[in-house]
Amino acid sequence: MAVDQVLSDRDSEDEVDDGIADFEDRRMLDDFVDVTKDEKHLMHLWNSFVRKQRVLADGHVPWACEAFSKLHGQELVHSHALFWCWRLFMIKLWNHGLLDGCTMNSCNVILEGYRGSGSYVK
Amino acid sequence: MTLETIPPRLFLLPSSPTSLVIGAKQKRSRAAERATMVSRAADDAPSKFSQKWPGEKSSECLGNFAYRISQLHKEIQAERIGFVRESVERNGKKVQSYACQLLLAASRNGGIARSLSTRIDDPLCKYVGLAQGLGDKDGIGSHEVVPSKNIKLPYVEKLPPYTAWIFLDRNQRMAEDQSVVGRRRIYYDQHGSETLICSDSEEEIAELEEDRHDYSEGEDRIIWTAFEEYGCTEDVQNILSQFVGGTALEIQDRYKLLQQQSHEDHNLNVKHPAAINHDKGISLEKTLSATLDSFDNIFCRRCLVFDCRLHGCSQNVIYPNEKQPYFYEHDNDWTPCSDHCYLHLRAARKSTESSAISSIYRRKGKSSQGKEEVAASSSAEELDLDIVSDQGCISVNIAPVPHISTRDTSGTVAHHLEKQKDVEDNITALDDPNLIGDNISQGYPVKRLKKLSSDEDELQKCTHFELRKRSSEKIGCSDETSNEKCEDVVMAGANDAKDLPHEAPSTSGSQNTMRDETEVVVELPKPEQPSIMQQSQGKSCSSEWKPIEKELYLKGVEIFGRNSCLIARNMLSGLKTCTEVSNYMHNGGSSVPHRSIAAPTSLTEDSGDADMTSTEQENPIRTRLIRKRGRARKLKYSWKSAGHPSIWKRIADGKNQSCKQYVPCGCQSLCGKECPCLDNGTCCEKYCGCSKSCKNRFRGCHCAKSQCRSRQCPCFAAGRECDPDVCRNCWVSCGDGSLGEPPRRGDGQCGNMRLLLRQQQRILLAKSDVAGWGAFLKNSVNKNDYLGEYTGELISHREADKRGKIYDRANSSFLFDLNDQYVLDAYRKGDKLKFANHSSNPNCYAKVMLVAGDHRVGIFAKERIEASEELFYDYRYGPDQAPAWARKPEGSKRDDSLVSQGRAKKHQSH
Repeated sequence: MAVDQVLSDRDSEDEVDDGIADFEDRRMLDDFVDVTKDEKHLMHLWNSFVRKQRVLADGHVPWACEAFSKLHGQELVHSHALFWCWRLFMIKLWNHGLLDGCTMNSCNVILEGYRGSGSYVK
Repeated sequence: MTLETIPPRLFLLPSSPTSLVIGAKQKRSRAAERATMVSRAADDAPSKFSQKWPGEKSSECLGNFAYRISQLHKEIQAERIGFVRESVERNGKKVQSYACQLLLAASRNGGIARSLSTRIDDPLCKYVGLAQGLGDKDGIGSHEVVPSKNIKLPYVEKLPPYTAWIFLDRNQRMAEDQSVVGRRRIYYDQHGSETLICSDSEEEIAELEEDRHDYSEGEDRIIWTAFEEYGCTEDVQNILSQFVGGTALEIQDRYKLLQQQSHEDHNLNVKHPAAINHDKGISLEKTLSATLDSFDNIFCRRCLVFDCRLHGCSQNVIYPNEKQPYFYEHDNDWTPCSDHCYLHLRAARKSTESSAISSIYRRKGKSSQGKEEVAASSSAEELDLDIVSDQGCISVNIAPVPHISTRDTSGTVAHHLEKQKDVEDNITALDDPNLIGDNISQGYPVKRLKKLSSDEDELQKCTHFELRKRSSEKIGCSDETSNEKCEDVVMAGANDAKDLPHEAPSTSGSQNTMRDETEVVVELPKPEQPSIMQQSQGKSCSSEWKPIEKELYLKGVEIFGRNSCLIARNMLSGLKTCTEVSNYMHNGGSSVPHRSIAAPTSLTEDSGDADMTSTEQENPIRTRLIRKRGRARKLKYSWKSAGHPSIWKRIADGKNQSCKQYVPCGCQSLCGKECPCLDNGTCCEKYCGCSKSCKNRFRGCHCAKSQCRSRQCPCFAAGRECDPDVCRNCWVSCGDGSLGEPPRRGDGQCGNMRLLLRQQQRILLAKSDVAGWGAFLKNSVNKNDYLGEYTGELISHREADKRGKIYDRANSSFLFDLNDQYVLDAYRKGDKLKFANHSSNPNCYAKVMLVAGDHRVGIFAKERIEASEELFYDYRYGPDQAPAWARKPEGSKRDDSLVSQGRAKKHQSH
């Protein structure tokens, strides 16, 4: 720690350190034995996203999904398995009434954009 | 060697310097041993068995058996001895090869004995200035010698004992392994300066540590061989129990375990015909619910995260009773979704996708009428035909009508927009010149409907629900459906061309015109070759539908209606193309799913239709299924009402109410008497399954300017924080700005979401003016300002009683009564506010607030507090429970005005 940091009157005691929180989160998720690697990865990405973006209310979820798709789009389209998890998770959110069809579609349009046109045909 | 001399543990490793290495090897060799054991047993079994077992007297047999066992014993032992010897030799060599290098290096430095002193003479680094001892005497180094003086240090008061805790920014439910219930606990008694076992005789639970027999490899092998060869009889078990130790039953269990293991080993070798799609990492054979299982188990719907530490995993999954309306695509262009979009094929395919999920079907009469019309109207004006193809000869391909009808449920706006989409849609469909060209050249009648999109807009504005047909031909469908709100029965007529202000008076064959500005309805007689070909092609390329694909499809229909583009994109991308989805839809491979809510009245409307009938048949099944699930889910909750006698208290009941833990109910529609929430005396929340109009729901506030900081706000009055999803004006945004933020709703100035938003003060930790550590305020605050949350582990009352016993003995407790089910314990995990001390004349108060369905403890300023003052609040112990230091001075009256939440068991000392 530099001297000015020490004297800066800044106190981070009560703050959640993102790096540590991510680490903890990953560790907790790793404890699950019957969850696939990709599921865990998606869960971790989501948890991290929700924490950093302070997604607190149900009403934030549609925004969060779109922002998540933009933020992690590249990664999501790269891995079929991860993409699959994300799709299932969106369905899950829809089941809970947290995500509407319109937003789900927008998310997938965003992801299609990452993938390049037409290539999502099998 | 006699039997008795054989130790129960057959083979122990010799303790040698190389044992570590051997241990590592051991694993592999054991595995190998197992393999030979199994195979040998398998080889031996038939011969021995047939020779000895049948027909012989059991006594002889047992004699043989005992002999055989002892033989086996020796055999194994001999093997083991050989193996161990070999290992020792092998490892000895290895060790030597390493050791000789070291020895060599050591001898180079003049022998082992002197190596230490040479190192001191020639250290790797030297510290200058402080060394006063050895280094000086040896005369090595050139550092200053600090003259030692006797310094009298001023007396400093002892600091409070160190304390360590894990910081929690929010409450956590206690992890299972943190429970002290049923455990023996040891604590240090300061008065006696000794370590004691905390015991209270009545509840001392004898821990039945079963003296379990650990089986060595050799024993396993004997058991295995014996059972394989002689069968699993009692005698065999008895003899084995003499040899191996353990009861006969244990041995039998062990054998079963071994069998299982060998079975598993076997299975491992055989390659699994796993149905896993390795390309995609997706298992297509599982059902959707099985695939969603991990999400269902781990996702916390309340906190919106996975593996929530507050609500835990495997919560009861409750889905809202009210589904969202279908999505009607209206803000991007209705263009073919891909190269494989069904729109490309539309012009040459029969189309029944018109029949929307919301049970819109054409009437038979109308379609036959349509047929006539078509026959009669090659010169006719624009028609918009929508004919159920099952009826026969004609199929209508480009059909704006179906889409309109699909979207009727969404209400007006979507309705209009959709139409526009359809126009564009159809135009795009025509952009494929081949299809159209073919059709035209084949001389199929082509109907043209000219609509400029601007006109279309106008039209949409003026025609609300119903588009009446003006002409006598009156083709189209009248579709009825009931949308979510049920009261809106939407009548959507087909757009009759004649209603349009800008209709083209006559059919034009020109392809260009069509492409530029027209909407074309292409009609193909169904039996004609091309359409059949198209279909068969579609079928051939659509491979088999896996269960999960079917389920995803159905889910897609639930979400998007029968729109194959959307379903393919959102549900089945990478699995099925739009065309395949569309084909599947038409081939009736899918039972048409209906939402449970869909009113049957809307279905019966057009009952003349063949499709209709089939739908009707399927519909009740589906609803029944859903109902069944609903019942099952309800059953899960029965424990709750059983466990808690119903004490019905209203929310604003009074001061010393005990808070009730909220558990979301899974009631269908409205909550009745059997609703667990109602029964428990809690309000239904947004997390409940019941409908939004449930009478037991807390409806939030409509406060506009009051900032919800007074009892005028119903949320505040009920001891709740406002909920951005429920309260009308209490919106908060999210996002750190790097990714934009969601659209605002309301003009939230709400001052009653401070726990939720963590709008807390900076708390400092320092030595208390009173006792031990204390919490201090960094900046001054006003009365009723929120200072911070008292966080901790959520533990049950039973657990709290157990922990409390130790805490009380140590005179340091951080327990806080939260509600009827939980106590907060900040002893191990918490935040700095746990150090705020007790005072009967405090400057703060603690208040339990309901935040998003959870009770949380906020610490608020009772008066204005200046910067760097120490914080105190009244722990509010019951008169008999309080430790001596927390007893009230005689005659003092308790001030109940703001603290409504009963006693806190917390106390703290030092």
